[in-house]
Amino acid sequence: MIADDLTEPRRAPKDFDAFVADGARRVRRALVAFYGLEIGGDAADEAIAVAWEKWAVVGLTDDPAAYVFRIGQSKARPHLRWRARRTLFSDTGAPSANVDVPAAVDLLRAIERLRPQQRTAVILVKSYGYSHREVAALLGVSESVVNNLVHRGVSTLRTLLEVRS
Amino acid sequence: MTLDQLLVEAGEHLDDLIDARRASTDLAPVRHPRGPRIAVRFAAAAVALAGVVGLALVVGRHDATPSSPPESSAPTVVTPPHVGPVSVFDTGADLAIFIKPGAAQDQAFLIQEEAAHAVAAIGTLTKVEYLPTDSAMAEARRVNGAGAASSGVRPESTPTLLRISATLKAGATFADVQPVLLQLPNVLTVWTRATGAVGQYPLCCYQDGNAVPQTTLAPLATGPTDSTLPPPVSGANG
Repeated sequence: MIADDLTEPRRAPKDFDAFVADGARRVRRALVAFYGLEIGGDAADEAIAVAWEKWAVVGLTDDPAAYVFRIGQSKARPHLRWRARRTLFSDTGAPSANVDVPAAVDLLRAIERLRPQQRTAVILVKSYGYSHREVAALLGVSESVVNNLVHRGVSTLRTLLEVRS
Repeated sequence: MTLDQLLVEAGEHLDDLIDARRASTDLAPVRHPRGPRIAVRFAAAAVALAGVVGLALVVGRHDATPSSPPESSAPTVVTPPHVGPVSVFDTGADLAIFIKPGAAQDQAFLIQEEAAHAVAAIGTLTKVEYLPTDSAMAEARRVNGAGAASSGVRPESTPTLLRISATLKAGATFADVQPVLLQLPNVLTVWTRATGAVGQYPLCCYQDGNAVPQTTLAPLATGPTDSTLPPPVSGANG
């Protein structure tokens, strides 16, 4: 799954199905990394629904994934107001194949403490293997900013995990 | 295991969590925490509506009630129309010349010139006002009050009115010019403020095309302040 995302060259989707197969997954991962499983997942659902409804316009943009990510951010923002305690990823210990779940949960708890943009950049680059350029387009920042976010985020994670261990 | 490897595993675990959540939400509709948002929107809408209604009530009440004059302003006595004694002189004129109904307009202008000339001999003219038939009828209705419509206020029976104001020389009175003006053709009657300060419009003097004797003028209950003054003098041609 991850290997496919890393090796396949990404191109602008020609139609909505192509977007769902490629860009929508990137958007969902980014929104979940940014807002957590619950809010990010709901926001991704709503944003993709909007994209389907207005694909005639969204499909013409240079990077539909970045556009839909913005829609997802707009959808997620109102939910944040009414969540006193935001749970991101650490409240689930569901089994995963070929994964050291306790170690992954532990790491995700540490990732939760990063700033949203830093967290998103670290997850998208380090966990999913997206390029700096792709993440920069998604977050609306430059590649050097993404590089800084990843570098500082990883450093913070290292510190957090060392203290915890 | 290095941190990079741990991060890749965390990504896989996160994907599993995403897929698991999507599978669970596929079975049940996604519920968004919109309750508070809806409640707040309702509250905001209710407050806005109450504000608009309140504002409309305040504006309506403000429009309905006449604004009172400022307390600091001097007290003024306002007499509603047709209440109390009304006079052809209450516009500030000093001399009223009634011209026979039906007289040509050039005749009226001639009388106006003669009157202005006569008054100028005893004082300084301040205002000469000529009221043609329509205005004179309105004036007659105003002076005669209710019922004037049925008491002869018609174009053919309404004299044209000429009002003159002047500042007289010492010792002079408008009565001095009154006989001269009465001799002018088509002059029905001439009243001065002193002799006819409060009086009805002299419709009675010329009704239905026939001259009516001056003596038939009905005296008003609220007559002139000086009751000893002689009644208005009828014109020679009236």
